[in-house]
Amino acid sequence: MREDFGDLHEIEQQAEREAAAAQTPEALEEVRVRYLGRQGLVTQAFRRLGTAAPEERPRLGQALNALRAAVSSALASRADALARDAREARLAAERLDVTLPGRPLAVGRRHVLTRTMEEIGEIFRGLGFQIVEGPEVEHDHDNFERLNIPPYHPARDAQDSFYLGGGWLLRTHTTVVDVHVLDAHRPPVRALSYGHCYRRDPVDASHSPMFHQVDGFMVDEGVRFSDLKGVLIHFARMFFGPDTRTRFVPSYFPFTEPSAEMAISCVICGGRGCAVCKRSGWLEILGCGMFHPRVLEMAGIDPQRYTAFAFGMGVERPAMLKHRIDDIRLFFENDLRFLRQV
Amino acid sequence: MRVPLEWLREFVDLADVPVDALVDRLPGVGLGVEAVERVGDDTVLELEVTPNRPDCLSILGVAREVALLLGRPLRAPGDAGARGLRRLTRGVEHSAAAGARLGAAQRVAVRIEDPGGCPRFVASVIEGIWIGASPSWMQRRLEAAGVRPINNVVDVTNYVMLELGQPMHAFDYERVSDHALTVRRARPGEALETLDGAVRALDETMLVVADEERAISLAGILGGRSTEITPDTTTVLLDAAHWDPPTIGRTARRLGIRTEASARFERGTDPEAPPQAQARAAELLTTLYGARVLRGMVDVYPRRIAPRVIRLRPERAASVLGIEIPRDEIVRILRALGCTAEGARALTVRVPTHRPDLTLEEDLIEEIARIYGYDRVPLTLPRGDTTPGITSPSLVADREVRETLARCGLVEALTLTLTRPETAAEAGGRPALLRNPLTRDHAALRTSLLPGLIEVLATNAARRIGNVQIFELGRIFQSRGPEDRPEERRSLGIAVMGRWRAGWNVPEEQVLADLFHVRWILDALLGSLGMEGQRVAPPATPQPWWHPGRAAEVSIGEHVVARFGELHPDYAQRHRLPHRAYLADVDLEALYRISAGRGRVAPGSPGAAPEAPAAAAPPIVPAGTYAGLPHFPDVERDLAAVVPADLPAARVEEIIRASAGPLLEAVELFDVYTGPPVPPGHRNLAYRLRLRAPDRTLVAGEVEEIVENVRNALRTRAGAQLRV
Ligand SMILES: [Zn+2]
Repeated sequence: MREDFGDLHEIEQQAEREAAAAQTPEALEEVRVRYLGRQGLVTQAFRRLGTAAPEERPRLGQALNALRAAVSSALASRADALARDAREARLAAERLDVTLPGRPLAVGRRHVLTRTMEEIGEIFRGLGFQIVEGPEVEHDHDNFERLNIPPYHPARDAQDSFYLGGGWLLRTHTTVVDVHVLDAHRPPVRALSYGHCYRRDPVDASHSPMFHQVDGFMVDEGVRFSDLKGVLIHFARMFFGPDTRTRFVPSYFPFTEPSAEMAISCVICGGRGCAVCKRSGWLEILGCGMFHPRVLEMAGIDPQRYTAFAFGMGVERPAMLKHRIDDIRLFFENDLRFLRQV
Repeated sequence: MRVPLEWLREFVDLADVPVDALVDRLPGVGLGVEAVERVGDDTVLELEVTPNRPDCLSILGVAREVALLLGRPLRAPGDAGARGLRRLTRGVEHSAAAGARLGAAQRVAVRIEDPGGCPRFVASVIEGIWIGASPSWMQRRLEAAGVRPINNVVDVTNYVMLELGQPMHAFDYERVSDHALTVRRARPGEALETLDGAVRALDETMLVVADEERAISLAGILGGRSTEITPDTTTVLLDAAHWDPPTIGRTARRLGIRTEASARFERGTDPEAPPQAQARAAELLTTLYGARVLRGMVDVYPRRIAPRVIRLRPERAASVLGIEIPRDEIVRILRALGCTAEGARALTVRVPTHRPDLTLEEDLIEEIARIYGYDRVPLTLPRGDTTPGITSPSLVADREVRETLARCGLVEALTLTLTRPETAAEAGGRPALLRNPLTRDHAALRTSLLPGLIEVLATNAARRIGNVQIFELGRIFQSRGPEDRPEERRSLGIAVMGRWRAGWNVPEEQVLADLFHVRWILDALLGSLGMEGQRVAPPATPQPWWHPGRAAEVSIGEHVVARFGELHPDYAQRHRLPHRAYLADVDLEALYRISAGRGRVAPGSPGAAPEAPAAAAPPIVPAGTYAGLPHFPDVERDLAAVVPADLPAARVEEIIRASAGPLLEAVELFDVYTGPPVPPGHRNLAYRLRLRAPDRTLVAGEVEEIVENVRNALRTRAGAQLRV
């Protein structure tokens, strides 16, 4: 009777050996068929269970179930191992030279002067300035007379203009936008504008017939020169860094009184003196002052009741300082290698 | 203004002041130092003098500022001592009658016909002079100050001008006809040969000094050739005058002349200076050359210029500056500046005549702050009502446009608005021309951004950069007539050429920019501005710079808002472009208006100058509204239609959309094929339709019905044959 079932332990060990020896999924399948298939050794043993003595059947059934479980488990773990090997072999074959260079996508960028103007605009917007714009073609009257610069005034020498006829010209400064805002709004107003300006300067490393300016002003009751200083120092620290020092010295603009020029501690040498700051440690970046009473009067604003501060600066110079650009012509040459760097 | 320090030291004691310390402190009072130069064994300061400070165009004027800065007295020049200084600074008594009694008056007559243009004219006569070279010390000083020595007489006039700020002119007395000078307006058609040899055509707005026969000097600007000092000159007629600044400024600019004299007169000289200058010149000519100066001078002063009186309220100064400067301090500063200041509450301030720039209370407030020190003004933040920090909608839209394009891989370029007139004309319309261009290359305003961008492609290509994707946002201009304000429009240009993706083993034909690359960029741009329903069609009027078969117009409603296409190969070749170039020209002005919901752009509308925005201006960039995610699955169906090759794809898509109805969520073209088995003259367009209902899962029956509708529509309306 025992012979009929053979040595179950022997069968289990043999099945485990054969499963472990299978090197491919196909060979493993053959092992499965040999033991668990319809004619497999384990299956046949179950079929003979009915011939066993009734009192033997429960024990024998238990033993057979254990055998089937053990064989199945041996097959399954070998199948896992084979699958893992296959996956590893595949991944090994997929190895790439990870040091090959990347394949670039085009990365776009806004122009450094655009970003500079918008950055300046954002700083002042945070101080309650509205950011506005004006036309590039202006009338001589607005561009000069409204800013207290009469014809043939020596101050016009520095602002030689391109004329179009009929008194129209290409604006020489964005300060003229202040005039339009003053005309259109009543105090309190804080406004800032930026954009192209034009002067009839021959082209060199620091002059271009077209350049960019930012101009801003604030008009209200009780606006003081000290407010101008406070606001502009805030700007200088936001734009050039928190350690920036500033210096205000007297200057002259026909449309401001008092007039000042703001210099910042040299961003190249930190104020010790270098070629860029001409050994002075200071860089002049901005003209400013309190609006001349005539400018307010011409806009119909009573200068006894209201005072205003105003300031203006070129955009190229701060951008050149921040990005260490040494020639203004680079801004307008549009060499992609330049545009992508800054 | 070039200031030799050894000259300056004659007026103010600088013995214990190092040059560096002086250079550091001068900007604090408004005298910027442009350069510090060693000349021989002296140091010369190159000062930047602002146009409002003519007084500082002299050693004396600079010395006054330095003395004030150092808190030291101003002293007499040379050996003249305190007495000499008093004479110099206080001047001599002037009186027309004085001339009549004394020597010079018998030898020269002076008449002023235009007292507005010439309020004061002082003449003197010097005899017994031998024309020769000046002593070397004087030549050195002149050269250090930037003036070329000429001869002893001319050098003395220049020396006095540099020292005191009062320009003078020397005539050869014998060559002045009748020894009579008249100050008058030039006559129409009158000409004058000036010292530089040029013959100047004058007009009635210009002032001249004339003898009985003709103009002999361009007043306040440049002397005339006919009365020039020559080696034979023995008697000299010296003039020192006060001129109306705008008259001199206008004449100098009209004639394009700029001299040391005109620079001072157009800014405004001291009306009290002419006799002082005459006295100083006389002193130098007699002591250096033994010349005989005829006693007295002819001083014609028809319109006395009185010192200006200004009312100054100390409290106004405090409220403008933001700092309370003690009243005593204010008075001290004003007196140090040469003013008198009196009064109990408001101060009555009398301004010295050498400061013509001080005319208003604000001018005095500036002077007080300047001397008190700008650095002593505190830092404050503005008080009062806050104002909202808002950005004008157009500028917000500009930023959105730029960022969208940058995200599409384009780099922003910035080209000059100024261009060649032919280029501007070729690009369209009537260009606005400059009256006074610097070069022909910059003589017109651009009418389109595209020529500039093509130039950028060419510049980069010439530098072996063949893959270029750029855009520019800026204004373009159209003339409305030679005397009228040009139309100014916001525009956008796009130019792409070559690969938009680089790297190894990336097949070039798959990554070269093409027409549909530009089309996608435009779609992205319009989408970012909330536009939909744009139509694309071949241009109504083809233009020569576009490839004749590869150009299109994009319109929204009635308005063409953009054009795009391939640059004509002839143009590409002319610019030596290494690849085909694709361009787009976008009318941002129109787009912004449509987007702002106004949509009132009439064709050829003036595109009025951008105005300062009111706070209430409507936004241009939509906020973007969340429409929810779908709750029910979609169904996709592919459809291939063989249609006549000349039927625009846009038309096929239109038919699909119209016939599919509202459940069509998207239609995507995924294949365009010509060649067998598609019959000649036809092409196969393959579309994927995505259908979805917002409120339920679609059932097979309704999907088939929609697809059948589309197929029928394509058959009947597009003449399509449908493949299964
Ligand atoms: Zn430096």
